[in-house]
Amino acid sequence: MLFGVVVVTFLLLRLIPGDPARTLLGVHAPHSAVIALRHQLGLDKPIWIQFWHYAGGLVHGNLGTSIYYQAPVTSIIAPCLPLTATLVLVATVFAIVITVPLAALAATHQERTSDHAVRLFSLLGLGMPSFWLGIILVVFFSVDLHWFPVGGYGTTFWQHLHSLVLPGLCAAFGIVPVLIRSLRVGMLEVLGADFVATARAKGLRPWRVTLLHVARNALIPTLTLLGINIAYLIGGTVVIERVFGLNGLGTAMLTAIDVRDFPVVQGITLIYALGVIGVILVTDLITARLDPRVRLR
Amino acid sequence: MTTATATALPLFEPAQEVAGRPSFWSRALHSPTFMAGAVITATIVALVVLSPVIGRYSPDALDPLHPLSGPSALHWLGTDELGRDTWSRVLYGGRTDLQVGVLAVIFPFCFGVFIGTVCGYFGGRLDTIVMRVVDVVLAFPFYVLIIALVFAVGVGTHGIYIAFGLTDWVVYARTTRSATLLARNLDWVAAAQGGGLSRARVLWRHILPNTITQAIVYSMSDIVIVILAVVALGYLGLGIQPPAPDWGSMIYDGQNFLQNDQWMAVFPGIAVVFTGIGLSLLGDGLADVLRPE
Amino acid sequence: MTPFLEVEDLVVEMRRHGAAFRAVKGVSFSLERGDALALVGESGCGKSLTLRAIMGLLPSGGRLLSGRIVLDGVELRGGLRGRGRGYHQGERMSIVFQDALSALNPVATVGSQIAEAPRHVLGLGRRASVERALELLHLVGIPDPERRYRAYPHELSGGTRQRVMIAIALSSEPALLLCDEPTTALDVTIQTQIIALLADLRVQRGLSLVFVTHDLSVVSQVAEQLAVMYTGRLVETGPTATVLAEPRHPYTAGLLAAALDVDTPEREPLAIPGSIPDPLRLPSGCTFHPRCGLATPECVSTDVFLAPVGFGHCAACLHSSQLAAVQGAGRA
Repeated sequence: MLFGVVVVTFLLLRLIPGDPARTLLGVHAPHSAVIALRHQLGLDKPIWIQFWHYAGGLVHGNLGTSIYYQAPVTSIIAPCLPLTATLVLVATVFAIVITVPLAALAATHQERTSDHAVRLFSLLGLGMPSFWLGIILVVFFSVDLHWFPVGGYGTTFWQHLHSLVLPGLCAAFGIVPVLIRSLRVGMLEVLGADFVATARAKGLRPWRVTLLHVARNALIPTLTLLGINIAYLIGGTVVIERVFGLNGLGTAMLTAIDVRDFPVVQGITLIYALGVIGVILVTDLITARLDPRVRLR
Repeated sequence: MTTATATALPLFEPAQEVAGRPSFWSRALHSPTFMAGAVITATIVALVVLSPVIGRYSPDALDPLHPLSGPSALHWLGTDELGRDTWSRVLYGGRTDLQVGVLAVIFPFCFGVFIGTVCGYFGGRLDTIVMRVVDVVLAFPFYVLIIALVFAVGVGTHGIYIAFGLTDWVVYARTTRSATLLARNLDWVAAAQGGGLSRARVLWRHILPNTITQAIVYSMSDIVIVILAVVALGYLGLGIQPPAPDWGSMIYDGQNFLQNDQWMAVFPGIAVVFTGIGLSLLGDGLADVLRPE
Repeated sequence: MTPFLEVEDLVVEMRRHGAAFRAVKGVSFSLERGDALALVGESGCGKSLTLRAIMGLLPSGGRLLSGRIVLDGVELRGGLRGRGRGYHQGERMSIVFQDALSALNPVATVGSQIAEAPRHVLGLGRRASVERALELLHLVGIPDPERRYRAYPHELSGGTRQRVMIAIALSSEPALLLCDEPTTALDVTIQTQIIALLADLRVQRGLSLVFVTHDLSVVSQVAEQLAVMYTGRLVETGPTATVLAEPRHPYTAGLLAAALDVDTPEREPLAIPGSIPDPLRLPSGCTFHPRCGLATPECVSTDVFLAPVGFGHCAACLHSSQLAAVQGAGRA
C-alpha cells in the first residue's frame, strides 16, 4: 500500500505530456537550458532508474531537491508541518464536538423538530464550500467583530491556537454535514437494536442505558467514519490555508505550483498521503482496542 | 383414510391477487424529498440554461460607472470591481460550473461501475490489483490529488476532466463491486446462470440493474463534491480560466474587495449552496424511491 | 380469582414509510399465575408486537393506541419509561428475544450483562451480583460458569447465547417471562433443550410464560393454553390439546395441515393457498376469507369476533361448526 502510494506520487508528475523540463522552463527557454535541467533532474535516464533513485532517496528521508530554492525539499516542508498538523487536529476536535451531540440529538428525537433542524443544517452544509464559509466568517467575526485575526498565525502558542479557531471550524465543516448524516443513521441503528431493548427491559435507568449500551456501541462506527473522512478534511485544509493566509503545507504546495517546482509538489503530495495512512492506522488500532469482535486472539 | 383426510379439509380457493409495488414514477412523485430536490434542481438548471434571457447583461459587459456596487435596481446583485453585473455572472458561472460538474462525473461513473462489476463478478487477480489501486487512490486527500493532477496535466477545463477522470471512479468501483458480490450469490442469479445464459447477458440484464441503483444515488452527491472541487480550483486559480465566469474565481475576486463590497463574494457561494441542496435532496429522494422494500 | 396477567383490547399502530396501519387489533387474553400461553401465527401477524406492547418496548414507529395491561392487579401505563420505579418493586416481567446475538450488547461480557440487573435494579452489591450471575449461568445449564462469565456474545454458540438471554431475563427476578420466538433460530436438538429448560424454570420458580412462535410443533411441549393470531387479531384460543386436536378456525386447521406430521409421514403437507395480505390493504370482513374454502358472502361483509365453541375454547369464524362437522366426518 505504501509502495503503491510512492509509485503513484512518482508517476503523478511524469504525467505531464511532453517534456517536463521544457514545461518547467517555459516555451522560450533556450534548448541548452532544457538539456541542463533534464540532466539535473535525472530525466535523461530511463524511468526505472529514476524511480530507483527516488525510492532510494525516500528511504533515507530525502525527498529530492527543490528547483526553485535549490534546497532539499525536506527543509522546505518541515517548517510548514507543525501548522498544518495543528490545524488538522483542531479541525478534528471541532468536527467531533459538533457532530456527536447533534447526531445524538437527532437520533434520540427522531421525527421531532430537533431532528429536522439538525438534518436541515447538515443539508445546508453539504453544498457549502468550506472556504466560502471561511470568508463569510472572517467578514463577520474578524472584520466586523474583531474577535479573531483576519489571517496569519501569530507567534506565541496561544496566538497560534487563537488564529486557528476560524480555519479549524471551516475545515471541520467540510466533513461535518456528512458525518452528522452517517452518525445519525448509525445511532438510530444502535438505538433500535435488540440489545438496547434488552437493557431497557432489565429496568435500568435511561441514562445508564444511553451511556453504557448505546454510546459505547455507537462509538465504534463513529471512529471508523472519522477515519474515512479525515482524508477529505485534510484536503480541505489546503484551500483553507490560502483563505486565512496560513503558511502551512497547503500554501507551500500552492506556491510550489505557481513556480512549477515539481519536486516540492511531489514531496508534499507524498507527505499528505502518508499523513492520511497514519491517521487511518491510528483509528483502526483504537477501534480494535474498543471492539472485542475485532481483537486478535 | 387418506382420501377422507383430504376431503376433511375443504378445497381452498386460489388466493386473491397480491397488489404489486407501485411504479417508480408513482413512488417518486409521492416522495417529498425527491420532489423537493427535483424542483430545486430543475429551477437551478432552468435559470442557468435561460441565462441569456434572464441575465440582464452579458457577463463580460463592463459598467465603469458603477463598480463595486451592492444590490440595486440596476444591478440586482450588484457589480464587481470592473462593473460587471453579478447576477448575470452568477448565472453564466452556473452554466460553466454545472456543465463541468456533470460532465466530469460521466466517465468516472461509467468506468467505475464497469470495473466494479467486472471485479465483483470475476474476482481473481484483476480484482486484487484493481482494489489495490483503489486503496492507493483513496490514501491521498481528494483535494491534494486533484490539485496535483491539475498541476501536472495543465489547468483549465480539460485538466479538470482528466483529473476527475483519473480519481473519481474509485468510489463507484468499490460500491458496485460490493453490490455485485452480493448479487452474485443470490439464488435467482445462480438460476439464470444455470439456465444457460451467457455470462455477459447475466451481468447486463440481471446483476447490473440491481447494482447500478447505488451508483446512481451516489452520483448525485458526487456531482456536488465535484462542483465544490471545481469551485475550489477556481478559487485557487487552477480551475476554469478567466474570462469564463466561474463561481470559484468570483469568490476569489470578491475576497479581495471585502472592505469595499461585502456582497461580491457572497452570492456565488449562495448559488453553490443552493445547487448542493437541490442535488442532495434529489439524491436522498432517489435513494428512498429506489430502495427495495 | 383475578388472573395474574390481563391483556384487554390491545391496539398497536405501526408506521412504515409514512403509512400507518393497525398491526394489533384488539387482542385480549388472560393468564393465571404459573400458567403458560403460546401465541402462534405466521410472520407479520402481530404476535411479536403484542409481546413488546405488553413489555412496554414497542419499536420506533410503533404506538400503543389503546388497551389495558394489568399485571397482578396493577395496571401498567405507558411505555417502559412511563411506568416508573414503582413497577419494579412489585412483580416484574422480562422478555427473551429471538436473536440472542443482536439482543446482547456486543461490547460487554455476558457475565457483566447478567449481573447488571441485580446490581443496578435489585440493588445488590458488586460481589453479590457477580455471584448471582454465576448462579444464573449455572441454573440455565451453562457449564464452567466462571470462564463463560468473561466471554463475549460473539464467542458463544447459538444455544449458549440463548441460555444467556434467559439468564439475563431471570436476573431481574421476574414473575412473568415473555418469550419472542426464542427457539426459532436454533437447531432442533438445542430447541428441545431450551424448551425443557423453560419448563424446569416454570416449575422451580413458578414463572408465568407467554411464548410466541410460528412453529406449531413446539407448542404442546411449552404451553397449556394456545392462541392463534392472524393479521393482528386472535382467531382461535383455547387449551392447547383441544385446539390442536379439534381446530375450529380454518386458519388453524390450515396451519396444522401445513405442519409435517410425525405420525402420518406419508401425507404431504398441504399449503394454505394464497399469501398473507399486505397490512395496508387488508381484505374486508374476515381477513382470512380470500384463502378460505368455507368462505361465504357473509364472511366478506361482516367483521368476525371470537366466540365460544367449546369449554374455554373460542374461535372467530362464522362456520366453525361446519368445520367441526367436516372434521368429525373425516375422522369417521
